[in-house]
Amino acid sequence: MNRFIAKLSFLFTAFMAAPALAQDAAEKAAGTGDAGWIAIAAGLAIGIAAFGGSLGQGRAAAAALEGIARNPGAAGKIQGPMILGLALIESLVIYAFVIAILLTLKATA
Amino acid sequence: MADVQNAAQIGDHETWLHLIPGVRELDHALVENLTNDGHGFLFGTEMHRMPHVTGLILVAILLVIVGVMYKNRASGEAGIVPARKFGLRGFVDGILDYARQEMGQVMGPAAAKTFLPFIGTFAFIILFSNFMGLIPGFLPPTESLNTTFACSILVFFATHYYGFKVNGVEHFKHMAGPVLALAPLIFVIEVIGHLARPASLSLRLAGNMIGDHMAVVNFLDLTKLIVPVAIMGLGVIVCLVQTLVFCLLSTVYIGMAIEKIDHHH
Repeated sequence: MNRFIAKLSFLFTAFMAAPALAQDAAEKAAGTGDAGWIAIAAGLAIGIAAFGGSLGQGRAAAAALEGIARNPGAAGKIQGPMILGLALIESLVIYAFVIAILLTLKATA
Repeated sequence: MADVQNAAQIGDHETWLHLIPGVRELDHALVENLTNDGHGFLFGTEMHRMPHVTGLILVAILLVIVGVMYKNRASGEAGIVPARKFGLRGFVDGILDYARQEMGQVMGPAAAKTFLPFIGTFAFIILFSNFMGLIPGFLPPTESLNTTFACSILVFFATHYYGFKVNGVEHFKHMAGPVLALAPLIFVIEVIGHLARPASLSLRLAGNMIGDHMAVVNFLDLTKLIVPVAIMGLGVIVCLVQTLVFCLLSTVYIGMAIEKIDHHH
């Protein structure tokens, strides 16, 4: 299963990366300068933020589910703070997303 | 040249709301004014469009109609028993019950009753605005930072107004922390923290809506069938959770401000 996912993600990356690089090269050829680097920065910004955010959210969700598994009666009380915590973690990713949008707009301007 | 570009831009973003007389002209004027100075405001011209404003007015009209219909069905003797089938009354009752229950857990039942009209209005406006974005050909008004910042700045003012009303000058003294020597440092940090709240509230809601919308658009570019529907299913969850988060955080902020400050710690 893991190997399958690895292959799938490799294919996905390979086919997704090709158009991105092609665009980059085209812009370089057109002489727009830093646009390519800004695009890479935008991609890295949201990529790293999503990585960290998903790790944090995974921990929070795992802890909450363990709590519910131990004491199913407390599910209602755990749910509220869990959603609040998840939202606060997610908002950091959203800030990164906002920065990525700003960078993309800068690159395309 | 610029006119041609603008026309192309608007042609790409035609919505049902453009069919209302006058909206198209105002949208043209708005986009031209935003682009004339070379660079658009935050998020560019995509997120500051006339349909956001028109959509919010539409939501307001819809909510007034829903309110009047709810009042007709829930007033008098009919209001004593819950609705038999899940309809408009069950929907409104469900949201209000849930809001009151959650708010009661955060700020206490008495305060929850006081602030239910305030927070509950946000809940309905944001929920309806979010769901408007799931209808093809409409833009969610909460996608624009203008809409969400207007909501969160109201929460900011309400927090400090009611905090001052309950605790008096203590409300602002409390920001300076317990130790006098550290007060200049703590007070500045607290003020920055309080100012960051409306920014984070509004950016979170707008960012989530933009992200959801963009995901749907990108998947529509890939394939037209089935796949975008799955993303829109995720969008339903995003819409509900973001409404809940905005209202819950507003409740927490106001609840923290109206707590009676005691000096025994």
